[in-house]
Amino acid sequence: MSGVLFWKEMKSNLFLFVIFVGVLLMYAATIIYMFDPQMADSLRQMTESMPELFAAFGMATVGENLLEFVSNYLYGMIFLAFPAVYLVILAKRLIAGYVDNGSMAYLLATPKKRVQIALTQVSVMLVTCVLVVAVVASVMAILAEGMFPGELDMEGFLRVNVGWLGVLVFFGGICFLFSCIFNQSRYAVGCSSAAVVYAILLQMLSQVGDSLEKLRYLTPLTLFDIEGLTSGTKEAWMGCVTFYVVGLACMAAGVIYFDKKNLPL
Amino acid sequence: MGVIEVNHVTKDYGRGRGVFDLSFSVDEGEVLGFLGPNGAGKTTTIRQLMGFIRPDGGSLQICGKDCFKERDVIQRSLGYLPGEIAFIDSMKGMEFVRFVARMKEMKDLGRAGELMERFELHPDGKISRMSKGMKQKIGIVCAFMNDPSILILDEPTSGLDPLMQNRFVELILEERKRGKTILMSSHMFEEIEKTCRRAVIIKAGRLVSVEDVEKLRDSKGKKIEVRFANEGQAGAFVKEYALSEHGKAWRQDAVVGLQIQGSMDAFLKTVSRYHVVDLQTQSQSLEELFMHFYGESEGGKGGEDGSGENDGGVVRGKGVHVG
Repeated sequence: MSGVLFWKEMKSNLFLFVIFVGVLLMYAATIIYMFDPQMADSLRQMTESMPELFAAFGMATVGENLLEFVSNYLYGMIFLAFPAVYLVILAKRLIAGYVDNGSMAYLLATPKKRVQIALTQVSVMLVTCVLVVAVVASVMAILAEGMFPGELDMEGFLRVNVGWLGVLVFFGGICFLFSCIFNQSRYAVGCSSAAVVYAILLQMLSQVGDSLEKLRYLTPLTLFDIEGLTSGTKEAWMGCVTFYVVGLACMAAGVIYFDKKNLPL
Repeated sequence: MGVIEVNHVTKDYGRGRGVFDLSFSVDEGEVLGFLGPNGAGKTTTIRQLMGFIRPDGGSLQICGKDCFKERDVIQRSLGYLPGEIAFIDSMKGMEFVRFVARMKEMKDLGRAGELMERFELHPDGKISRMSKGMKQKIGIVCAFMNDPSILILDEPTSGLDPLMQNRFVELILEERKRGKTILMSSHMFEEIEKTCRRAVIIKAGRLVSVEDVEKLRDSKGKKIEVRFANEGQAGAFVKEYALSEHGKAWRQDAVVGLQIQGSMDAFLKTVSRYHVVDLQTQSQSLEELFMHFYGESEGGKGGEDGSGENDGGVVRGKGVHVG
């Protein structure tokens, strides 16, 4: 680990972080603001008029309470796709970007092991994921409490966010691994985006209707069981743990690969 | 045993690119020149010394430590100047220097201030806006600032103007006096000539030889163009010069061109008897130097590794950096 490098990365990625978290918060605030126990009926009618479209975005049911409402409208799609884009960019910057433009030579021409450099970048990735979830969830909790005191089931909300963090760690791990494997940023970005788009797209399709329902077995995001997490079922926790394990394993694999590989510097 | 040891190293990139069975060593306190045309495998060798890539065969050691496995330990006493300058573009120059100093676990900026003054570097702006020369100076500052005992410099003067090239040569000479071990690659003989006593010469990834720079300098040829007052004078000179058996000369109108190996004395004494309007000398390129060196001193040696038929291919079509 290198503290110098860690803070350099945190500083240079701050701008991007603020933008992405800002977008997420904007959505979150809008959705919470829209919640109205009385309006649930009219929303239900709207959903019933175009069930496929709403289902594709993970909004099959309107939700009887605030937790179901926000988890359906936000965690099903928007909170996965936006951070995924950010993680693809971040992962590329952390390893492949330095290798591609040659400045990795300066990071390695220091008394640091490659493993130390790579682990520093992993920690930047993990801390970023935690910060995204922590900032967004805290602000949402405060907003919800401010607008609808006592309406949000805090424990359930916390469980959903633990699950959400798992998905981000999973996405981050995949992107980081590709960033370690490829020497050219465009390949790292290409493969990372392909993986992320594949997972999200298949999840959307599988939710549209019965004919495509089988697709849910082909996307890892099926393991992100929001409903299960709100009530805290065992299956949902298993899925959640899987995301963490696979994500961290990908990061470890990336670090090991980076340590062993030939670098074109 | 040398401080830097390269033993029978092979790194094959296919299509004849890479390095093949390369061996040489740098002694303690020595400045060793590493000469070869573009694409000869200089950078590939240096990348292996830095532990960026693993050799296919053979071994590389610095201070008795394996260059790939113990690279982080080696880096404690090593300064490195990459051949391709690439920094973190979003940073400002000074910010980058400070960043590298902290990455090298230095307590302060060490010699950075003194070096920046020496090279008249004021790295205030963004790196992405800097000229090649300025970037090269930043690279030099980063390599030297922690005063390492070993330096590996890949084409250190590229991008520098002649004044700064001289300052750099002065710096190397000072470091040599202070007992530093330096490996310095170049495709320009002049740079090596001023700083090194020995030079390793490679071509197409293979060791051509390790030579005393003195010996190389003596065999270096000079191309000379002399403009005489009129065609008659030129013609007469060519005739006289040809008689003196110093070499061939060609004439176009009043201009005579010729090539001299070693001492200029005979040529100057002959030409001084004529009315000379203008005289230009041109140093040989490295390729020409090699050809003459091996053509004249040890004719058989060059043929050994089949360089005779390779020559054309080596000199041409090697603009691309290996790897």
